[in-house]
Amino acid sequence: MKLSKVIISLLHGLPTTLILLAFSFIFANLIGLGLAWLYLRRNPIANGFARGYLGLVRGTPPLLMLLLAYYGLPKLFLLVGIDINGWAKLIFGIAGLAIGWSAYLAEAFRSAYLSVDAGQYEAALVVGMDTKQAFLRIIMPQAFLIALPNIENLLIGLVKATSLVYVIGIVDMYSTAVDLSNQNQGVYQLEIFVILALIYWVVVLLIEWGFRRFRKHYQYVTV
Amino acid sequence: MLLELKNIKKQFKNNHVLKGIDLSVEKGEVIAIIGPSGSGKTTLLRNINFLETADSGSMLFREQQIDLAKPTKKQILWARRHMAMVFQNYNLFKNKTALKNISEGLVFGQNKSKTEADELACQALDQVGLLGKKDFYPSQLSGGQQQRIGIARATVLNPDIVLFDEPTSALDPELVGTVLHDMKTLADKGQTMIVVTHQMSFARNVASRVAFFSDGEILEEGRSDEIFDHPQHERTQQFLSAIAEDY
Amino acid sequence: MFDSNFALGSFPKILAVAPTTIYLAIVATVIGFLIAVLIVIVRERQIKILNPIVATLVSFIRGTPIIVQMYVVYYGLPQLLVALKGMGFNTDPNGLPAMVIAISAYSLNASANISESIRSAYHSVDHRQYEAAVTVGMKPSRAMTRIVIPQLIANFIPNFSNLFLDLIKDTAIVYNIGIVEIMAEANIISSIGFKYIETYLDALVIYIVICWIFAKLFQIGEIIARNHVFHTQKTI
Ligand SMILES: Nc1ncnc2c1ncn2[C@@H]1O[C@H](COP(=O)(O)OP(=O)(O)OP(=O)(O)O)[C@@H](O)[C@H]1O
Ligand SMILES: [Mg+2]
Repeated sequence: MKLSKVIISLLHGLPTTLILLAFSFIFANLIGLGLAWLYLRRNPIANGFARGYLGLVRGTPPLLMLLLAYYGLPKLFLLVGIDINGWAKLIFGIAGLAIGWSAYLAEAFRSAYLSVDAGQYEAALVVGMDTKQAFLRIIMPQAFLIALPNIENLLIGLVKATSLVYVIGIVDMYSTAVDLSNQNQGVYQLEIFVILALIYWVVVLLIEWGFRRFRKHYQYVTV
Repeated sequence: MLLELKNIKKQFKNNHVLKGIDLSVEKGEVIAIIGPSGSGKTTLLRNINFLETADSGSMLFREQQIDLAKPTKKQILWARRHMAMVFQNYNLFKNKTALKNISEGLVFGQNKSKTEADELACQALDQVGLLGKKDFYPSQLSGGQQQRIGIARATVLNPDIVLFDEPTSALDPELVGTVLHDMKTLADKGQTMIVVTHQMSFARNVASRVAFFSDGEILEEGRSDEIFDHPQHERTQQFLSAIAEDY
Repeated sequence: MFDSNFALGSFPKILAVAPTTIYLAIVATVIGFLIAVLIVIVRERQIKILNPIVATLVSFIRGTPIIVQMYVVYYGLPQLLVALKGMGFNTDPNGLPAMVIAISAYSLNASANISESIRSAYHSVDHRQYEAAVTVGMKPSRAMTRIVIPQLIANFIPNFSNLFLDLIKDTAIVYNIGIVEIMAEANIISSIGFKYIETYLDALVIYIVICWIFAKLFQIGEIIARNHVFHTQKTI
């Protein structure tokens, strides 16, 4: 077996990795936004729920979160009479990663929101915007830019965490590599994992490049 | 009478910041509010446009009576859309260009179309000689430029009254003049304004009336030449002579 | 559906191996920290040739999953030792303990992350303060230890705490190379009893408690550092 074949086989796993990444990132952001909103409420129940969620999830290894999603979610859903045992593993992988990352994103959103200059909100009200417009047009975009470095780090962390879905039997790039190295009986084992590492690195470098471009575009917006 | 404030009181914890302010403003008047730091000048302006809610007091604005302690959301929005404010530290929207800073209020406060708003914003920028900077973000502008855009942002809305909170005190000395010039131009056009300021020359020469604030009260109020040339109150005399050493 | 007796029965067994998790995390962090200091020196002093190499390696480590790094070390370290033996070094590539492999991989991983964290803490120190201190006649070395380092540490501890907690969570994969820590024990018990959620919840509780304890320790450390060593006040 040639190294080029190794590369090609590994790349066959890449789409799964990217699908996992994209969907779990989107859902993590949605849940994270909701949590940040709850966290910022003065209502003690909403606030307490968000704190509890963050405390629990941030102390949980992503690998364990995936296992809990895979074995736990069907049981939880059965409690309300819905059978999701037959759902694709990919969905549980996305759920586990999204739940895990939502907590980190929520914290990033919350702290970014709090660090937007209060004068910006007042200026928006004073030119006649209502509170919703002020939030959507002035506060949110600025909070987003403040949160951006954290979001970038979290996305990169998520790229790496997708490798853990092997634990619930999803065939992504990483588990393809494990299969290859087992088939090969010791040949090229090191090379397989080095190439795998390089592919992940390229994905991460591309993400960093994208964020750099974006930051450059908004370089004069100093929030 | 365009604006009539009655007995505004406001305290933070045990700190009585406004102890019953009465003030009336005729259309076209420029009122300068002077007084020592911490006397409640900013707080008064913030109560007028509801950035702060008063403990008690009322406001008669454009023939509408508003209870400052219990304004409705509708009243707040209505009042804000007929007033404008210029901040000490400009508070230009950091995520908007100079042009958008000005047009945003026209679009979202006054339901103008985007193109019309942008056109009006361009005119406003042109008037202060900053049309060339229309696509610049606040971080690319000097303090003086930012504040002049802040003023344009306020006046483009055609407000009945503009509230200025020390608009020049964050500026380098050589930039103060340009901003004061813009303000004088406005005053000459008949714009009603309340100006909190430490610029005594402005208070004296541009303002029609001056109110001297001390410790949450208006100690003295009158035509600007009267206040400056014949202050009645000892506190006013002290304040003016202390300030006089500054310039 | 949920066997709470099973969960309670397995809890002490899983807890019993928690020290392995903590041991690995602490040893890797300490070694990683020492390497990180070297990395920071190379990068901040911009030492020729070394700087770009180190920068690339750090980027590489930060851009790849720890599980992949672990396998690179797992397969690569013995080969390295074989090569060294060939060059006459007295090394024994056979039967390398799994713990040595794990510590090597995790130390390298930690060093890359910690070095970036130290650098950003260093850059966030207001250097005008250092200049001011030198201007009023403080010796540069003293200004460094009195002004820059304290601020650096204050900026660094919260980050360091996060990195350490991440590392604890990252160790949940070393069962793959045969180390029996929390996750491994949970898996073993699960596969015997065919009950998964019970043992995983046990593991969850243990991880959360460990993370909580260390987070508190770091917070206390930060306060002690600020109050006693540097005479500045800050409460939790
Ligand atoms: N949000 C607030 N919470 C508590 N106290 C406040 C608040 N805003 C103002 N104060 C207090 O109210 C008093 C008056 O403040 P204000 O800003 O109105 O003074 P000022 O006359 O504008 O002073 P300056 O000339 O320095 O701007 C001060 O003692 C200040 O500490
Ligand atoms: Mg003030």
